[in-house]
Amino acid sequence: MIEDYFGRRVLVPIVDMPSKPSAKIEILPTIKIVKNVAVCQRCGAKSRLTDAALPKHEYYCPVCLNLGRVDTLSKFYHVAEPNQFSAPYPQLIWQGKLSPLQSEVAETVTASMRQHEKRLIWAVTGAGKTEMMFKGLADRLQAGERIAWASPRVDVCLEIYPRLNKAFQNCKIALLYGHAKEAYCYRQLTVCTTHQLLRFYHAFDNLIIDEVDAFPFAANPRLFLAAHNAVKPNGGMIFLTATPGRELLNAVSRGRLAVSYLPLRYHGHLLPMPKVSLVINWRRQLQAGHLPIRVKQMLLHEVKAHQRFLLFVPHVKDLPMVKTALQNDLATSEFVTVHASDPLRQEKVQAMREQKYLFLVTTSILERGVTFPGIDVMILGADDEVFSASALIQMAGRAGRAKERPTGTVCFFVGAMSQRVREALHQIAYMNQKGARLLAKMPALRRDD
Amino acid sequence: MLKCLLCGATIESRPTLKQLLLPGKPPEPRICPQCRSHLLLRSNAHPCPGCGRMLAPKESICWECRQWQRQYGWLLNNHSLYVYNGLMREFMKKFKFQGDYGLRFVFQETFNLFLQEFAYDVLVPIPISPHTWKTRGFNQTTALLTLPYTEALKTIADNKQTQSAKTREERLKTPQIFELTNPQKIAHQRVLLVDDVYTTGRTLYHAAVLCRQAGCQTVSSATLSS
Repeated sequence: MIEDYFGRRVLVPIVDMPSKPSAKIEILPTIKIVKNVAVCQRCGAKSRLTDAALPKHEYYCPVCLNLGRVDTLSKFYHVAEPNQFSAPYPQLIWQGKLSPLQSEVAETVTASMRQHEKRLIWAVTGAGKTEMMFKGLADRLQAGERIAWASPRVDVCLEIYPRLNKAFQNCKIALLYGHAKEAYCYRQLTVCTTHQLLRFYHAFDNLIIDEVDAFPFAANPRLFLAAHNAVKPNGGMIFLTATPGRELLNAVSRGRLAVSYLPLRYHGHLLPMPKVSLVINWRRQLQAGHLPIRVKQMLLHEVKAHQRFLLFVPHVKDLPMVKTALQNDLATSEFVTVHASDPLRQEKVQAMREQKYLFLVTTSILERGVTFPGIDVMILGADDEVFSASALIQMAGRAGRAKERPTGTVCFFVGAMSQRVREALHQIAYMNQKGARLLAKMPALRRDD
Repeated sequence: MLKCLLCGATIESRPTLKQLLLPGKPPEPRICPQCRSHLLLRSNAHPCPGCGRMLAPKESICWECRQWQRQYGWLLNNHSLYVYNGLMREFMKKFKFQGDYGLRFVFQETFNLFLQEFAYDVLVPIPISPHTWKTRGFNQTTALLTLPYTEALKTIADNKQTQSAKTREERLKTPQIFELTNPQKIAHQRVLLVDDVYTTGRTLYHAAVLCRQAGCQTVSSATLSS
């Protein structure tokens, strides 16, 4: 099907190509050899020839293998994106209401998408980012544009897909991710992981990247290149995040990227400011079977008040130790530990949602995308290098999301102060400062109803 | 920092003083302890004289190899280094089917040491079809070899369906798929056939038949896993 090549680069082994492929199909090179480096034309990775060599003077890209091997034995089939969608175009049927602040950003987004700008939406955790995009999205879909909503996280994609499906009428959405069961199909709106963007080439008029700071996108410059390759040369990009990394902020300060701030949550309250508490050698105390005294006091206080909370720890291997210490010191069993490869992960999270537990002890898997109303957040070993500044902000952002309890306690227990903790505190304070200024100007933004 | 070639985890290597001071390092697959723990060496206890897999206490030959014995009147005497388990399947998927040629280093060292234990004159790897050469771009068996070998076989029909894509029944019915290219090189020699995986034995028996026709002295086989 020729549609499969629209705006994409599809690998075809040279040996399997018909002698005369359709004239509409462009055949693009897969690997360029420059001196002693092989440059992958899909992911842009540069590999030494010794690492990229196959026998018989052929080469492959050892970096983006998961998406099908790019090698000199194949070529890309590509057809320039024709925007071949027929009316009726998808229509927005979402009935929800935006706060004045949200609608202001929504207007900016719409204008931005119309002009195909590159823009960063820096909105605090729990600001309602998704809903703010609907208007711009609807506007552009009506204009017949091809749009992608991409995120580094599969779970974010899986969560956004049904929401978009519900919000739009007669809109068929393609959902693409690593182990997807459905095959690729040509659709006006695509929801996919950022890895899947590597398969596209000049396809989208507008690209939205959700949680742009999340792993692996933030750590992987090739994915950034992939995103740029996936949009048309004059296409627009919207980056959504609560925690922009240094590169995005640099782009903003150099004027290469427009920015919109949304420093207040949808309920109009400021972010809870984390308290930092020093607990030297906490791991050694845990090994002895006890919580550090400050942690113990804090948690006892929470348990007595029947306050639900999340306790984050840096590593999976810390979980059993913490569990024993908690049982020794708190004399409670109203908790459960959960980690990424826990077979009962979904069930445990669901049980927490149903308030069957007082608290969850977890690694950073629950850092984003989950909401338990009215919880507090404790992070043990917040200075550990597994917690990036953005992860810390996201975890802190789990607190105070409910309208009924818009504040909450966030506590960072650190063995020593670290740059990442400092940066997280700084970013939260910065957004709160902006938010406080807004509130002073327009007190009506706080919705306590 | 060394990364596990299979799962990508960082390998923390703290060599002991002995390892630092004495020459020669113990050969180990370049994978993390976690992955290595899933790796299972084929034990030498009570092996089947045909396929080399372990037999039940009272058996003298496995059911599969009895069929081969009936068909050909002789057995292959195959030996494999590892058990084909979940980890091996995962490895083969990445190495052969995803085409990660760099993964040849995972078992290269251990496999060649394993092959050196055999008494043979020529090493004959199982070839791949021209179509596979033009898509995969490498022979997964020769990729594992650092020892010198002789390419005495080639595939005849360029059937696109690979052995691994077939069911057991289909595999066993496959007609001869190889022909000899250099019969004189293996005549009167002790031939050791090498392949990556021993599954039904169909491929290796086809190759062994040709070697015997070429007048080799003995023929046996060795594979990375079975």
